[in-house]
Amino acid sequence: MRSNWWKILGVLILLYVFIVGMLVPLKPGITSAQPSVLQAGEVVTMTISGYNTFFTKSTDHRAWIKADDTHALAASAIKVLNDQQLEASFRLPTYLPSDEKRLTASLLIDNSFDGATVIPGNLFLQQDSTNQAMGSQAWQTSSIGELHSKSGMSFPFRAILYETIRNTYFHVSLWLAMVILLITSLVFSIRYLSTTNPIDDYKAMSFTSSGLLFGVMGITTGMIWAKDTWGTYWTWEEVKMNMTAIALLIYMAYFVLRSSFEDMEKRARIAAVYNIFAFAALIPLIYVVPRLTDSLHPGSGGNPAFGGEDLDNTMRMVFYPAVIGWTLIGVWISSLIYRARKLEEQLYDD
Amino acid sequence: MTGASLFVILFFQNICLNKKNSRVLARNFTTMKRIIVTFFVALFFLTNTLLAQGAEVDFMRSIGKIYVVVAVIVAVFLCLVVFLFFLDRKLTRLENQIKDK
Repeated sequence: MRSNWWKILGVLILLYVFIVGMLVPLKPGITSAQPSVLQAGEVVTMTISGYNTFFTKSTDHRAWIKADDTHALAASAIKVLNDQQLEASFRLPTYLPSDEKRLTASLLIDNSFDGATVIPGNLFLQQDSTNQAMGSQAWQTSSIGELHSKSGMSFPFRAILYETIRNTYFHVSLWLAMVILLITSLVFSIRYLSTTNPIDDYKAMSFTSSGLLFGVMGITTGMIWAKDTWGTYWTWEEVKMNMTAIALLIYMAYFVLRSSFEDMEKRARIAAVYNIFAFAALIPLIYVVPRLTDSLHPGSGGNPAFGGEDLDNTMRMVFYPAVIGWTLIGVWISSLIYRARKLEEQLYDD
Repeated sequence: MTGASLFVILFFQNICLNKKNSRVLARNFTTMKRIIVTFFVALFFLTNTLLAQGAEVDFMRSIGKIYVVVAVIVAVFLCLVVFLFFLDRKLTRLENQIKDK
Protein backbone atom coordinates (compact mmCIF):
# COMPACT_ATOMS: atom_id res chain seq x y z
CA MET A 1 0.00 0.00 0.00
CA ARG A 2 2.91 2.33 0.68
CA SER A 3 3.96 2.33 -2.96
CA ASN A 4 0.42 3.15 -4.06
CA TRP A 5 0.13 6.51 -2.31
CA TRP A 6 0.37 8.48 -5.55
CA LYS A 7 -2.60 6.62 -7.05
CA ILE A 8 -4.72 7.56 -4.04
CA LEU A 9 -3.37 11.10 -4.27
CA GLY A 10 -4.37 11.29 -7.94
CA VAL A 11 -7.89 10.09 -7.20
CA LEU A 12 -8.26 12.50 -4.26
CA ILE A 13 -7.03 15.43 -6.35
CA LEU A 14 -9.50 14.59 -9.12
CA LEU A 15 -12.27 14.25 -6.55
CA TYR A 16 -11.43 17.78 -5.38
CA VAL A 17 -11.44 18.96 -8.98
CA PHE A 18 -14.85 17.41 -9.67
CA ILE A 19 -16.44 18.75 -6.50
CA VAL A 20 -15.01 22.26 -6.53
CA GLY A 21 -15.10 22.50 -10.33
CA MET A 22 -18.80 21.69 -10.43
CA LEU A 23 -20.04 23.43 -7.28
CA VAL A 24 -18.41 26.85 -7.35
CA PRO A 25 -20.94 29.22 -8.96
CA LEU A 26 -20.31 31.49 -11.91
CA LYS A 27 -20.08 35.24 -11.44
CA PRO A 28 -23.33 37.04 -12.27
CA GLY A 29 -23.45 38.18 -15.87
CA ILE A 30 -25.68 40.06 -18.30
CA THR A 31 -26.97 37.93 -21.15
CA SER A 32 -28.90 40.58 -23.04
CA ALA A 33 -30.00 44.21 -22.99
CA GLN A 34 -32.92 45.21 -25.18
CA PRO A 35 -33.22 47.46 -27.15
CA SER A 36 -29.56 47.55 -28.11
CA VAL A 37 -29.76 50.36 -30.69
CA LEU A 38 -30.33 53.71 -28.94
CA GLN A 39 -31.12 57.08 -30.47
CA ALA A 40 -29.66 60.21 -28.88
CA GLY A 41 -32.18 62.56 -27.37
CA GLU A 42 -34.72 59.88 -26.55
CA VAL A 43 -35.84 58.29 -23.31
CA VAL A 44 -35.19 54.55 -23.41
CA THR A 45 -36.40 51.84 -21.07
CA MET A 46 -34.04 48.94 -21.41
CA THR A 47 -34.84 45.39 -20.30
CA ILE A 48 -31.70 43.77 -18.91
CA SER A 49 -31.54 39.98 -18.50
CA GLY A 50 -28.98 38.49 -16.18
CA TYR A 51 -27.54 35.05 -15.60
CA ASN A 52 -26.90 33.85 -12.04
CA THR A 53 -28.06 37.22 -10.77
CA PHE A 54 -30.15 37.94 -7.69
CA PHE A 55 -31.65 41.33 -8.48
CA THR A 56 -34.33 41.09 -5.77
CA LYS A 57 -31.75 40.60 -3.02
CA SER A 58 -30.47 44.17 -3.12
CA THR A 59 -32.09 47.57 -3.42
CA ASP A 60 -29.13 49.78 -4.32
CA HIS A 61 -29.18 49.12 -8.09
CA ARG A 62 -27.24 51.42 -10.37
CA ALA A 63 -26.73 51.24 -14.13
CA TRP A 64 -24.64 53.10 -16.67
CA ILE A 65 -24.21 53.26 -20.41
CA LYS A 66 -20.47 53.55 -20.74
CA ALA A 67 -19.34 55.25 -23.94
CA ASP A 68 -15.63 55.24 -23.07
CA ASP A 69 -13.39 55.54 -20.01
CA THR A 70 -14.42 59.07 -19.16
CA HIS A 71 -17.98 59.25 -20.51
CA ALA A 72 -20.87 57.43 -18.91
CA LEU A 73 -24.58 58.01 -18.48
CA ALA A 74 -26.37 56.88 -15.33
CA ALA A 75 -29.85 55.38 -15.44
CA SER A 76 -32.57 57.72 -14.26
CA ALA A 77 -34.75 54.93 -12.87
CA ILE A 78 -34.37 51.19 -12.28
CA LYS A 79 -37.19 48.72 -11.73
CA VAL A 80 -36.48 45.15 -10.65
CA LEU A 81 -38.84 42.66 -12.35
CA ASN A 82 -37.42 39.48 -10.89
CA ASP A 83 -34.05 37.92 -10.03
CA GLN A 84 -33.04 37.67 -13.67
CA GLN A 85 -34.62 40.79 -15.12
CA LEU A 86 -34.63 44.49 -14.47
CA GLU A 87 -35.72 47.57 -16.36
CA ALA A 88 -33.47 50.59 -16.54
CA SER A 89 -34.55 53.94 -17.97
CA PHE A 90 -32.02 56.24 -19.60
CA ARG A 91 -32.58 59.85 -20.65
CA LEU A 92 -30.13 60.11 -23.53
CA PRO A 93 -28.76 63.65 -24.12
CA THR A 94 -29.16 65.21 -27.57
CA TYR A 95 -25.50 64.73 -28.42
CA LEU A 96 -23.11 61.85 -27.93
CA PRO A 97 -19.54 62.38 -26.68
CA SER A 98 -18.14 61.65 -30.11
CA ASP A 99 -17.68 63.29 -33.50
CA GLU A 100 -19.00 60.15 -35.20
CA LYS A 101 -22.68 59.46 -35.82
CA ARG A 102 -22.46 55.97 -34.41
CA LEU A 103 -20.85 54.83 -31.21
CA THR A 104 -20.42 51.45 -29.54
CA ALA A 105 -21.06 51.43 -25.81
CA SER A 106 -21.06 49.02 -22.91
CA LEU A 107 -23.66 48.49 -20.25
CA LEU A 108 -22.57 48.40 -16.64
CA ILE A 109 -24.77 47.50 -13.70
CA ASP A 110 -23.88 47.40 -10.04
CA ASN A 111 -25.52 46.37 -6.80
CA SER A 112 -24.31 45.30 -3.39
CA PHE A 113 -25.24 41.61 -3.68
CA ASP A 114 -24.10 40.66 -7.19
CA GLY A 115 -21.33 43.21 -7.52
CA ALA A 116 -20.56 45.01 -10.75
CA THR A 117 -21.36 43.35 -14.08
CA VAL A 118 -20.60 44.58 -17.56
CA ILE A 119 -21.72 43.59 -21.05
CA PRO A 120 -19.00 45.04 -23.25
CA GLY A 121 -19.64 46.64 -26.64
CA ASN A 122 -23.22 45.44 -26.93
CA LEU A 123 -24.99 48.79 -27.32
CA PHE A 124 -25.06 50.97 -30.42
CA LEU A 125 -25.69 54.68 -29.99
CA GLN A 126 -26.83 56.87 -32.87
CA GLN A 127 -27.10 60.61 -33.32
CA ASP A 128 -28.31 62.69 -36.24
CA SER A 129 -25.87 65.58 -35.86
CA THR A 130 -22.62 65.77 -33.95
CA ASN A 131 -21.44 68.19 -31.31
CA GLN A 132 -18.60 66.67 -29.38
CA ALA A 133 -18.20 69.47 -26.84
CA MET A 134 -21.83 69.45 -25.75
CA GLY A 135 -21.95 65.69 -25.84
CA SER A 136 -18.90 65.41 -23.64
CA GLN A 137 -20.37 67.80 -21.14
CA ALA A 138 -23.72 65.99 -20.97
CA TRP A 139 -22.14 62.58 -20.56
CA GLN A 140 -19.49 63.57 -18.06
CA THR A 141 -21.86 64.77 -15.36
CA SER A 142 -22.70 61.25 -14.28
CA SER A 143 -19.61 59.63 -12.93
CA ILE A 144 -19.28 56.03 -11.81
CA GLY A 145 -18.43 55.95 -8.15
CA GLU A 146 -17.31 53.04 -6.03
CA LEU A 147 -18.31 49.67 -7.48
CA HIS A 148 -19.20 46.59 -5.47
CA SER A 149 -17.64 43.19 -5.91
CA LYS A 150 -19.29 39.84 -5.19
CA SER A 151 -18.00 38.09 -2.11
CA GLY A 152 -17.01 34.42 -2.13
CA MET A 153 -15.44 32.10 -4.68
CA SER A 154 -16.77 32.22 -8.23
CA PHE A 155 -15.67 31.42 -11.77
CA PRO A 156 -15.67 34.07 -14.50
CA PHE A 157 -18.82 34.61 -16.53
CA ARG A 158 -18.19 34.63 -20.27
CA ALA A 159 -20.88 35.12 -22.89
CA ILE A 160 -21.46 32.04 -25.10
CA LEU A 161 -19.38 29.87 -22.74
CA TYR A 162 -21.58 30.22 -19.62
CA GLU A 163 -21.15 27.10 -17.44
CA THR A 164 -18.99 25.35 -20.01
CA ILE A 165 -16.03 27.37 -18.72
CA ARG A 166 -15.81 24.45 -16.25
CA ASN A 167 -14.69 22.26 -19.15
CA THR A 168 -11.26 23.83 -18.64
CA TYR A 169 -10.78 21.15 -15.96
CA PHE A 170 -12.02 18.29 -18.12
CA HIS A 171 -10.62 19.23 -21.52
CA VAL A 172 -7.63 21.58 -21.33
CA SER A 173 -6.05 19.72 -18.40
CA LEU A 174 -6.27 16.45 -20.37
CA TRP A 175 -4.10 17.94 -23.10
CA LEU A 176 -1.50 19.16 -20.63
CA ALA A 177 -1.49 15.72 -18.99
CA MET A 178 -1.02 14.21 -22.45
CA VAL A 179 1.99 16.39 -23.15
CA ILE A 180 3.53 15.44 -19.78
CA LEU A 181 2.97 11.73 -20.50
CA LEU A 182 4.45 12.04 -23.99
CA ILE A 183 7.51 13.88 -22.62
CA THR A 184 8.00 10.98 -20.17
CA SER A 185 7.71 8.57 -23.07
CA LEU A 186 10.30 10.61 -24.98
CA VAL A 187 12.70 10.42 -22.03
CA PHE A 188 12.38 6.63 -21.92
CA SER A 189 12.87 6.40 -25.69
CA ILE A 190 16.08 8.41 -25.47
CA ARG A 191 17.17 6.28 -22.54
CA TYR A 192 16.51 3.14 -24.54
CA LEU A 193 18.82 4.33 -27.31
CA SER A 194 21.67 4.72 -24.81
CA THR A 195 21.02 1.62 -22.65
CA THR A 196 19.23 -0.74 -25.12
CA ASN A 197 17.41 -2.11 -22.09
CA PRO A 198 14.02 -3.53 -23.25
CA ILE A 199 12.44 -2.28 -19.99
CA ASP A 200 12.91 1.31 -21.21
CA ASP A 201 11.22 0.42 -24.48
CA TYR A 202 8.21 -1.03 -22.69
CA LYS A 203 7.96 2.04 -20.50
CA ALA A 204 8.15 4.35 -23.50
CA MET A 205 5.42 2.31 -25.20
CA SER A 206 3.16 2.40 -22.12
CA PHE A 207 3.50 6.16 -21.69
CA THR A 208 2.77 6.70 -25.38
CA SER A 209 -0.38 4.55 -25.09
CA SER A 210 -1.70 6.47 -22.12
CA GLY A 211 -0.72 9.77 -23.77
CA LEU A 212 -2.67 8.75 -26.84
CA LEU A 213 -5.65 7.79 -24.68
CA PHE A 214 -5.58 11.27 -23.14
CA GLY A 215 -5.28 12.81 -26.59
CA VAL A 216 -8.35 10.90 -27.79
CA MET A 217 -10.22 11.97 -24.64
CA GLY A 218 -9.11 15.56 -25.27
CA ILE A 219 -10.33 15.57 -28.85
CA THR A 220 -13.66 13.92 -27.94
CA THR A 221 -14.37 16.39 -25.14
CA GLY A 222 -13.27 19.23 -27.41
CA MET A 223 -15.75 18.15 -30.08
CA ILE A 224 -18.62 18.05 -27.58
CA TRP A 225 -17.62 21.48 -26.26
CA ALA A 226 -17.36 22.86 -29.80
CA LYS A 227 -20.86 21.63 -30.71
CA ASP A 228 -22.59 23.98 -28.29
CA THR A 229 -20.24 26.92 -28.44
CA TRP A 230 -19.10 27.05 -32.07
CA GLY A 231 -22.13 25.21 -33.44
CA THR A 232 -20.38 22.22 -34.99
CA TYR A 233 -18.52 19.12 -33.86
CA TRP A 234 -15.73 19.54 -36.36
CA THR A 235 -14.65 22.23 -38.74
CA TRP A 236 -11.79 21.97 -41.20
CA GLU A 237 -11.17 25.70 -40.94
CA GLU A 238 -10.16 25.33 -37.32
CA VAL A 239 -6.38 24.98 -37.35
CA LYS A 240 -5.92 23.70 -33.81
CA MET A 241 -8.39 20.85 -34.35
CA ASN A 242 -6.70 19.73 -37.56
CA MET A 243 -3.20 19.98 -36.15
CA THR A 244 -4.07 17.96 -33.05
CA ALA A 245 -5.78 15.36 -35.23
CA ILE A 246 -2.58 15.08 -37.31
CA ALA A 247 -0.48 14.84 -34.14
CA LEU A 248 -2.68 12.01 -32.84
CA LEU A 249 -2.43 10.20 -36.18
CA ILE A 250 1.37 10.47 -36.01
CA TYR A 251 1.27 8.83 -32.59
CA MET A 252 -1.15 6.14 -33.79
CA ALA A 253 1.36 5.34 -36.54
CA TYR A 254 3.86 4.65 -33.74
CA PHE A 255 1.85 1.57 -32.79
CA VAL A 256 1.42 0.49 -36.40
CA LEU A 257 5.19 0.78 -36.79
CA ARG A 258 5.80 -1.28 -33.66
CA SER A 259 3.50 -4.07 -34.77
CA SER A 260 5.21 -4.36 -38.14
CA PHE A 261 8.53 -5.63 -36.76
CA GLU A 262 9.06 -9.19 -35.62
CA ASP A 263 12.54 -8.69 -34.27
CA MET A 264 12.43 -7.30 -30.72
CA GLU A 265 15.58 -5.24 -30.82
CA LYS A 266 14.91 -3.77 -34.24
CA ARG A 267 11.37 -2.85 -33.21
CA ALA A 268 12.49 -1.19 -30.00
CA ARG A 269 15.23 0.82 -31.71
CA ILE A 270 13.12 2.05 -34.61
CA ALA A 271 10.18 2.80 -32.30
CA ALA A 272 12.46 4.86 -30.06
CA VAL A 273 13.78 6.89 -32.98
CA TYR A 274 10.25 7.33 -34.38
CA ASN A 275 9.02 8.49 -30.96
CA ILE A 276 11.64 11.23 -30.87
CA PHE A 277 10.58 12.44 -34.32
CA ALA A 278 6.89 12.19 -33.39
CA PHE A 279 7.49 14.40 -30.35
CA ALA A 280 9.48 16.85 -32.45
CA ALA A 281 6.41 17.09 -34.72
CA LEU A 282 3.91 17.28 -31.84
CA ILE A 283 5.15 20.48 -30.25
CA PRO A 284 5.01 22.64 -33.39
CA LEU A 285 1.71 21.03 -34.41
CA ILE A 286 -0.14 21.79 -31.20
CA TYR A 287 1.71 24.79 -29.77
CA VAL A 288 3.36 26.71 -32.62
CA VAL A 289 1.29 26.42 -35.82
CA PRO A 290 -2.11 27.25 -34.22
CA ARG A 291 -0.66 30.47 -32.83
CA LEU A 292 0.45 31.66 -36.24
CA THR A 293 -3.04 31.87 -37.73
CA ASP A 294 -6.43 33.07 -36.59
CA SER A 295 -8.90 30.55 -35.29
CA LEU A 296 -11.81 30.10 -32.94
CA HIS A 297 -9.82 28.15 -30.41
CA PRO A 298 -8.24 30.07 -27.54
CA GLY A 299 -4.47 29.99 -27.75
CA SER A 300 -4.51 30.78 -31.45
CA GLY A 301 -3.83 33.86 -33.51
CA GLY A 302 -1.27 35.03 -30.99
CA ASN A 303 -3.64 35.17 -28.02
CA PRO A 304 -2.44 32.98 -25.19
CA ALA A 305 -5.12 30.64 -23.90
CA PHE A 306 -4.10 31.07 -20.31
CA GLY A 307 -4.59 34.57 -19.11
CA GLY A 308 -7.04 37.37 -18.69
CA GLU A 309 -10.64 36.40 -18.22
CA ASP A 310 -10.27 32.85 -19.55
CA LEU A 311 -8.39 31.62 -16.51
CA ASP A 312 -8.49 33.76 -13.40
CA ASN A 313 -6.94 32.93 -10.05
CA THR A 314 -10.02 31.07 -8.80
CA MET A 315 -9.88 28.80 -11.82
CA ARG A 316 -6.15 28.25 -11.38
CA MET A 317 -6.91 26.80 -7.93
CA VAL A 318 -8.79 24.01 -9.69
CA PHE A 319 -7.01 23.89 -13.04
CA TYR A 320 -3.47 23.14 -11.84
CA PRO A 321 -4.61 20.37 -9.45
CA ALA A 322 -6.63 18.97 -12.39
CA VAL A 323 -3.46 18.76 -14.50
CA ILE A 324 -1.60 17.00 -11.67
CA GLY A 325 -4.54 14.66 -10.99
CA TRP A 326 -4.98 13.64 -14.62
CA THR A 327 -1.23 13.14 -14.98
CA LEU A 328 -1.16 10.83 -11.95
CA ILE A 329 -4.07 8.84 -13.40
CA GLY A 330 -2.16 8.72 -16.68
CA VAL A 331 0.92 7.35 -14.93
CA TRP A 332 -1.30 4.76 -13.23
CA ILE A 333 -2.74 3.71 -16.60
CA SER A 334 0.79 3.54 -18.06
CA SER A 335 1.92 1.31 -15.21
CA LEU A 336 -0.98 -1.08 -15.92
CA ILE A 337 -0.09 -1.27 -19.61
CA TYR A 338 3.57 -1.73 -18.70
CA ARG A 339 2.80 -4.63 -16.36
CA ALA A 340 0.60 -6.33 -18.97
CA ARG A 341 3.33 -5.87 -21.57
CA LYS A 342 5.97 -7.35 -19.27
CA LEU A 343 3.77 -10.38 -18.58
CA GLU A 344 3.33 -10.87 -22.30
CA GLU A 345 7.08 -10.70 -22.86
CA GLN A 346 7.83 -13.21 -20.10
CA LEU A 347 5.25 -15.53 -21.60
CA TYR A 348 6.87 -15.49 -25.03
CA ASP A 349 10.47 -15.63 -23.74
CA ASP A 350 10.06 -18.91 -21.87
CA MET B 1 -39.48 6.02 -26.43
CA THR B 2 -38.38 5.05 -22.93
CA GLY B 3 -40.49 1.89 -23.12
CA ALA B 4 -38.94 0.93 -26.44
CA SER B 5 -35.41 1.54 -25.13
CA LEU B 6 -36.12 -0.57 -22.03
CA PHE B 7 -37.38 -3.36 -24.27
CA VAL B 8 -34.21 -3.21 -26.39
CA ILE B 9 -32.00 -3.20 -23.29
CA LEU B 10 -33.75 -6.30 -21.95
CA PHE B 11 -33.50 -7.91 -25.38
CA PHE B 12 -29.74 -7.29 -25.55
CA GLN B 13 -29.25 -8.51 -22.03
CA ASN B 14 -31.11 -11.63 -23.00
CA ILE B 15 -28.79 -12.26 -25.92
CA CYS B 16 -25.76 -11.84 -23.70
CA LEU B 17 -27.06 -13.84 -20.76
CA ASN B 18 -29.05 -16.60 -22.44
CA LYS B 19 -26.62 -19.50 -22.79
CA LYS B 20 -29.01 -21.69 -24.76
CA ASN B 21 -29.55 -19.26 -27.60
CA SER B 22 -26.03 -17.96 -27.96
CA ARG B 23 -23.41 -20.32 -26.69
CA VAL B 24 -20.59 -18.53 -28.47
CA LEU B 25 -21.54 -15.17 -27.06
CA ALA B 26 -22.04 -16.53 -23.57
CA ARG B 27 -18.63 -18.17 -23.59
CA ASN B 28 -16.83 -15.09 -24.81
CA PHE B 29 -18.62 -12.61 -22.61
CA THR B 30 -17.44 -12.33 -19.05
CA THR B 31 -19.80 -10.87 -16.46
CA MET B 32 -17.95 -7.54 -16.62
CA LYS B 33 -18.41 -7.33 -20.35
CA ARG B 34 -22.11 -8.09 -20.06
CA ILE B 35 -22.45 -5.20 -17.69
CA ILE B 36 -20.49 -2.94 -20.01
CA VAL B 37 -22.56 -3.89 -23.07
CA THR B 38 -25.79 -3.32 -21.16
CA PHE B 39 -24.45 0.01 -19.96
CA PHE B 40 -23.54 1.18 -23.45
CA VAL B 41 -26.86 0.14 -24.94
CA ALA B 42 -28.72 1.83 -22.08
CA LEU B 43 -26.65 4.97 -22.55
CA PHE B 44 -27.23 5.01 -26.29
CA PHE B 45 -30.98 4.92 -25.87
CA LEU B 46 -30.92 7.36 -22.99
CA THR B 47 -29.02 9.85 -25.17
CA ASN B 48 -31.54 9.33 -27.95
CA THR B 49 -34.38 10.07 -25.58
CA LEU B 50 -32.65 13.22 -24.40
CA LEU B 51 -31.96 14.35 -27.95
CA ALA B 52 -35.62 13.82 -28.87
CA GLN B 53 -36.51 16.20 -26.04
CA GLY B 54 -33.86 18.62 -27.30
CA ALA B 55 -35.80 19.12 -30.52
CA GLU B 56 -38.47 21.01 -28.60
CA VAL B 57 -36.41 23.00 -26.11
CA ASP B 58 -32.67 23.10 -26.72
CA PHE B 59 -31.70 20.75 -23.93
CA MET B 60 -27.93 21.03 -24.23
CA ARG B 61 -28.07 24.83 -24.14
CA SER B 62 -30.46 25.08 -21.19
CA ILE B 63 -29.42 26.16 -17.66
CA GLY B 64 -26.31 27.96 -18.85
CA LYS B 65 -25.15 25.02 -21.03
CA ILE B 66 -24.36 22.96 -17.93
CA TYR B 67 -25.27 19.76 -19.80
CA VAL B 68 -22.31 20.32 -22.11
CA VAL B 69 -20.08 19.96 -19.05
CA VAL B 70 -22.02 16.82 -18.07
CA ALA B 71 -21.58 15.41 -21.59
CA VAL B 72 -17.84 16.15 -21.49
CA ILE B 73 -17.44 14.36 -18.16
CA VAL B 74 -19.46 11.40 -19.46
CA ALA B 75 -17.22 11.30 -22.56
CA VAL B 76 -14.07 11.21 -20.40
CA PHE B 77 -15.61 8.46 -18.29
CA LEU B 78 -16.64 6.44 -21.36
CA CYS B 79 -13.13 6.71 -22.87
CA LEU B 80 -11.67 5.38 -19.62
CA VAL B 81 -14.24 2.54 -19.56
CA VAL B 82 -13.46 1.58 -23.17
CA PHE B 83 -9.77 1.58 -22.31
CA LEU B 84 -10.43 -0.64 -19.27
CA PHE B 85 -12.49 -2.96 -21.46
CA PHE B 86 -9.57 -3.50 -23.83
CA LEU B 87 -7.05 -3.86 -21.02
CA ASP B 88 -9.37 -6.38 -19.40
CA ARG B 89 -9.52 -8.33 -22.64
CA LYS B 90 -5.74 -8.31 -22.98
CA LEU B 91 -5.24 -9.52 -19.39
CA THR B 92 -7.84 -12.28 -19.86
CA ARG B 93 -5.93 -13.44 -22.93
CA LEU B 94 -2.65 -13.45 -21.00
CA GLU B 95 -4.22 -15.32 -18.10
CA ASN B 96 -5.55 -17.96 -20.46
CA GLN B 97 -2.14 -18.33 -22.08
CA ILE B 98 -0.47 -18.74 -18.69
CA LYS B 99 -3.11 -21.32 -17.73
CA ASP B 100 -2.46 -23.25 -20.94
CA LYS B 101 1.25 -23.57 -20.21
